[in-house]
Amino acid sequence: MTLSPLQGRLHPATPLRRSWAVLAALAGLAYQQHNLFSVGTSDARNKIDVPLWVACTAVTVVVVVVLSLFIASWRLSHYSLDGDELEYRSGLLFKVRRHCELHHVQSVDIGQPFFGRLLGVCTLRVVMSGTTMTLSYLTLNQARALKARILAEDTADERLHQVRTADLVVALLLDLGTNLKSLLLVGIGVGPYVLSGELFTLSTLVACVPKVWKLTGRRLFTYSRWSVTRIAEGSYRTDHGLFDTQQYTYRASRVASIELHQPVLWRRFNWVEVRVAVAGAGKPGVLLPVCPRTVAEKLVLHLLGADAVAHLHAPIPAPGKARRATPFHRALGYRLGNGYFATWRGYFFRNSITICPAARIQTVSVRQGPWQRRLGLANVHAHMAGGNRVSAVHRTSAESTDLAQRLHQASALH
Amino acid sequence: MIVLTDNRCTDVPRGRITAALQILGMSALIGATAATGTTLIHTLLSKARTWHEMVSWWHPALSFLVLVPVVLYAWRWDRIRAGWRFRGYHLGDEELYIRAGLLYRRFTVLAYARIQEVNVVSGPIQRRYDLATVTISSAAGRIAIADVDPQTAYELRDRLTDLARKRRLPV
Repeated sequence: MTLSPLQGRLHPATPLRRSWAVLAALAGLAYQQHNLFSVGTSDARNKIDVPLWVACTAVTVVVVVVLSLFIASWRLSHYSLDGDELEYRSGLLFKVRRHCELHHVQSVDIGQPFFGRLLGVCTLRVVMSGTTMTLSYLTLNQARALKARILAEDTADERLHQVRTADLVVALLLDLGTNLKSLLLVGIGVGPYVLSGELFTLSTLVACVPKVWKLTGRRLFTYSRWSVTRIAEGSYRTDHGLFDTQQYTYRASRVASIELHQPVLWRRFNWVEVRVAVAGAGKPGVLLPVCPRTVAEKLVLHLLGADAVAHLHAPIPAPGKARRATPFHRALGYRLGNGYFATWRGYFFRNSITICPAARIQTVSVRQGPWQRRLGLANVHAHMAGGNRVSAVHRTSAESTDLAQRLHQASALH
Repeated sequence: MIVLTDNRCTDVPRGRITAALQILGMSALIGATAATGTTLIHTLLSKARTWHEMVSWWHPALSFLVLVPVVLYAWRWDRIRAGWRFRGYHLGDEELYIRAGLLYRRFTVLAYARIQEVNVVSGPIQRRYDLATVTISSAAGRIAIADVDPQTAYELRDRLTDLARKRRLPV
């Protein structure tokens, strides 16, 4: 049975996605000139008088040109899904034509930015290995039809965990390291004003405020209503966001490593934050912003298998000499066996466990700094696809040699 | 075995030039930082406004400070030599071993089957001393056999590409 090709244009609001800022800036700039020109009155002094018809014509021309550019770029943006191929064309001056074969697709996510939600439109992200194709904006119906056709599998959604808002707020308040960091940033911003009393020194805040917002308020908005859903065998989708809703799909076959972070004040609740590094993506993404450890272990079981969960306990502690290399030597440890490599690290305000399947290790390296050379210690790094690494730090030289050898053997291709 | 003090690795004969360049570079960096830092502190304390006031505290006798790194390097000479003798690579049966580093030593193992791309790069300073670097990319990033002579670099590139092709996994 051949299905009819699914095709259409993107939503007419599409050009606004990028150009609304430019238009706003132009309007602002035009308004700034208002005391230089006057329209239709000749009594104003020090102003250039513009006749009414000239002003009207200019405005009309600008509006018509902008509108026609919008319409042209909208008419030229076109997608079609025919058989096994998704094609997307766009561009007025620079033509873009992208093809994507459906058997390379790893996941399809629908996101709704805040302004998009007001208009009832959404963004469709088609994730392939290495690249992502984004179709925005589409109407929700278009996006759902495309998604159903691309995935072509009956998805039995099973909700694994939903983060409660109360838990999230408490957790974010108790995340001491991040909160102190944002306080420090505010201090740096306000410091010059406190010292000098000059109002203009408050301009240093401009540099700090976005970062502080990212560390505090934005985390609350993006993390709220967070849920993890199992959509198919080995596929897990996160849905989150208060104002703009986002989705991201993790595939068990693409997971390079899983990190469990525990800020110091979360210990009495035994909460952890789960991050997942995906092969090909640079930074680990958040799978769950806060959850009890049992839920985290359940997710590790889902993504990496039952053997991995056993590896989250009982690390081999760092040697006694490590205490001369770092104050956090108690938190250090590693464990290797059954095809999994897990490491324990501690920082000022948080402890973290990283676990990876040994078969997905790309490179193994041993590193030794000058101070470590004196103590007879070395670090062992397992480099994963995508550039992140899992490290057992401050092991004795003999141990590091042995560990590197075992890691290399475990990562051998069969 | 993956040992930091493995002695099977071929020494890179041009290693001493590179070590010398690295040391020179590090000294220049430290010197420039020290000069800028002290000038800045002097400017802040004395509220100097012209460039002449800013550098007026420099005395010809200060040029003796150059002797400090010289003495330091003479004293740590054996360690520096150990550093350049440490550089090397070894082509094993199934994997490539690379040792590098002067202050921070590192020893890396990479299976031939995971090699994705091999490049030979040579910058202007390297060309002046007739050197080249072989960069090897895998999914985890790139590692390099730094500063070998160009002939060896080309041979290594061909050899590694060949080995990678033969051991490539069926996709």
